[in-house]
Amino acid sequence: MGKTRKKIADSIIETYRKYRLAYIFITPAVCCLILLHLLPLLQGIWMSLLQMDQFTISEYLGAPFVGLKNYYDILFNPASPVRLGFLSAVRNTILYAAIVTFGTLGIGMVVAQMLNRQFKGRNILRGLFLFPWIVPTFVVGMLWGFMWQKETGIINIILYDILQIHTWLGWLGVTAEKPFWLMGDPKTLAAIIIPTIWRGWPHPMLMLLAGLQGIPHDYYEAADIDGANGWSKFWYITFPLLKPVWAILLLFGLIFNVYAFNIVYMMFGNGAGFPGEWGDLLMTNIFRNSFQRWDFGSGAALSFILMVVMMIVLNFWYKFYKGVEEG
Amino acid sequence: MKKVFSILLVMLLCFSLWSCGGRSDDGKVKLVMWIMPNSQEPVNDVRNVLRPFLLRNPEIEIEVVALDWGSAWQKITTAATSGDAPDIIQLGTTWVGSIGSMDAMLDVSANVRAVGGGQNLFVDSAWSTTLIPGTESIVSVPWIVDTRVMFYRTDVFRRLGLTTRDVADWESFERTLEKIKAANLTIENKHIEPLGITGKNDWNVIHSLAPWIWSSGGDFVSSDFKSSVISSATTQRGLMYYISLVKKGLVPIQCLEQNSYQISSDFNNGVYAIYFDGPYSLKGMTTPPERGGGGGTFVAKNFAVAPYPAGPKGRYTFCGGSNLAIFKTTKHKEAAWKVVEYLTTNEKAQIAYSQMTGFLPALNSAYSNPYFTDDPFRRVFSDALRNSKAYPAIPAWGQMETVVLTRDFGLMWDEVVRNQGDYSLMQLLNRLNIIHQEMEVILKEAAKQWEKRGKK
Repeated sequence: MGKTRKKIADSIIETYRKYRLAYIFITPAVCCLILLHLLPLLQGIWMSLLQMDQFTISEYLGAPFVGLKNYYDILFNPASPVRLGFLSAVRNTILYAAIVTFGTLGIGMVVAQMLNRQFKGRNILRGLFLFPWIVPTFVVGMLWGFMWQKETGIINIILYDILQIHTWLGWLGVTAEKPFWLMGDPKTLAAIIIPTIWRGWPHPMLMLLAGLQGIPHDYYEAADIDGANGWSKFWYITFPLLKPVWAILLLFGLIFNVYAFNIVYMMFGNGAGFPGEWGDLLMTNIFRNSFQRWDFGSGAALSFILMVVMMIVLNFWYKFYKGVEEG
Repeated sequence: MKKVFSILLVMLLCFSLWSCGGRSDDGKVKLVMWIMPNSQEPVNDVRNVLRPFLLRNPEIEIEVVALDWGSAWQKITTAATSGDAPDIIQLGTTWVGSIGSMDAMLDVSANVRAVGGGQNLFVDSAWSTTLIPGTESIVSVPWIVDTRVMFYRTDVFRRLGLTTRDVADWESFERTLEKIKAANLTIENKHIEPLGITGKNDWNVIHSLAPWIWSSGGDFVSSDFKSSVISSATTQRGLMYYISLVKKGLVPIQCLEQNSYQISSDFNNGVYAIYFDGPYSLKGMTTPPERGGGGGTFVAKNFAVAPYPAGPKGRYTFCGGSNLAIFKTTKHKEAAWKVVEYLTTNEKAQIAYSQMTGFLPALNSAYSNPYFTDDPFRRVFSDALRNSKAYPAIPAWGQMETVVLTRDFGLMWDEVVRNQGDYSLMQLLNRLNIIHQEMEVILKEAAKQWEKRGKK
């Protein structure tokens, strides 16, 4: 027994000696991680088990312990105020995160392909394309909130007064009446997705462009000799070789968009109004429950559920990414 | 290493305690006051109002910090839980119930009584927001008041032979709107729309509906504050009347997705014949452009104000505004009260701040000042205050207003827009029944909690 213990101790000391420099370098990062991530995370989990509302907030972490009540209210208690609009927020968040992530990746991929060719003014265009990405998200939300308005918004003016889409898209059911975009029907979902894609696509474009420039030209020359067309070259060379880039972008996009808040929050009366049944996301829902209803326990429980769901998504992604790496 | 770390921690603690305020080196009492952006220059304006007080009380020093409305809730919570709170804080009147139930504010009942009581000192509706009903402790003192009146175009009224009598009650108000619509007027290249109101994308969702609910005899909660009366026949009647103005085309439908600022600015640009707004818009329209106001425009020379039209059960308008409260954690209770007392009960300070911000004074005696008696517009506002109502300062109000009412009435406007002319009483009733159930849950739970732990 004593020998085994000594063996383990020796092996630890040896490992330490071997990687001493690495451990010294990562120690500050690990300390910061514990201090800034792990402790607040544990505190958040603890808060989700408390009844922390306006009556008990002054007791903070000493608020009454209610076990899993907050989780029960969120998931199974239809009478609980925390459930108001929860299911529509879940539906909207899934649609929003999926469409925005794939939308930004798709557009980013197309534009990166375009910018990867040699032509005059390429650098200027590249700079211009980055413009939406440098606009702060809350400004994007505010601006598009005005742009979507029925009569005075620039979008309806372009679509109906200038392009007159009702005259040539009538067969699709487009009527001459300008639509409301921000008044609670499925169109509202489009009204929050489009600005987010508009704001978000330059980032994947930039990353994919960098990836594209790293692909050796020889592959394409060889494909040319074999008589491959443009699509085949993209599908059999570009797409697989860019996989590590877009797989990371996919993960970042999903996480970022599930936790999206600013654009939607600001678009409806600069944060004062309710986004509606087709505009409310999980984050705006959690914000209302935590900071407007002062129910921090339920807010923490909602956040924790979301975190667990995201960890499951992350796990799936990691399995997929491992396949990419090994492939 | 451990020793160095502990010394550093102790030093950090000392430094943070020292910088928390308190008595400064020169023996002065340093107070921290959190306010909201009540005017264009919020910090400077409060400092200017406080100047005479500080000259008389050289031992007091005040640091004024402006918060924005959006983050204030969160900051107050943090302050109340961490104990690192300011000495004085501005509270929106609709917050008093919720924040009062946190037991973080000082009971100033004795101080208020010492300066001459309450009800007779302050505007009635503002006074009703100073304490949680059923308790004796006054936790906030009325500071500024916000109420709503009707703004109308005098040139449009003159042209159509209308007077304020034609907007005195609901029936005549509707007839007047129909008359303006039928006249199809275009003035200064702007087609005149009868009425501008906001819908869901606004911070005023409830405040805009409340006068119509109250004027028809309806209300949000019962008089004992124990249950919801939101689905009562009288509330339905008030809301349906207001919605019918939209259904009949007397309000341009696109209004319902706009915010108060847009409606106000459209009125000033000549789009609407009538809209409802607060005293700060009166200030905006009478302040010349070189001083940042909207005065000098065609509309600014052709408008007047009148009270809300009277409904079947009387004439009511919304009363909001802000109170001042002192955090229990303050180390300078006397000095903090002195500042609150000056700002809330000194007539000159009340009028000076009203002039700067456009909000109305909370102090009754300020209304006998020529600033109000000699100005016909301000007189309308001070008269309106007599018919104004504030929301009950119950602990559950904050939750209900921000989550249930704003959300559900937002959904109501969504339905009105989707159905427009076909929006029926049955649809409204369905919505009100949902709101009623949600309010009941919150009211019951809050009352239970309040009984259990709040009432101390």
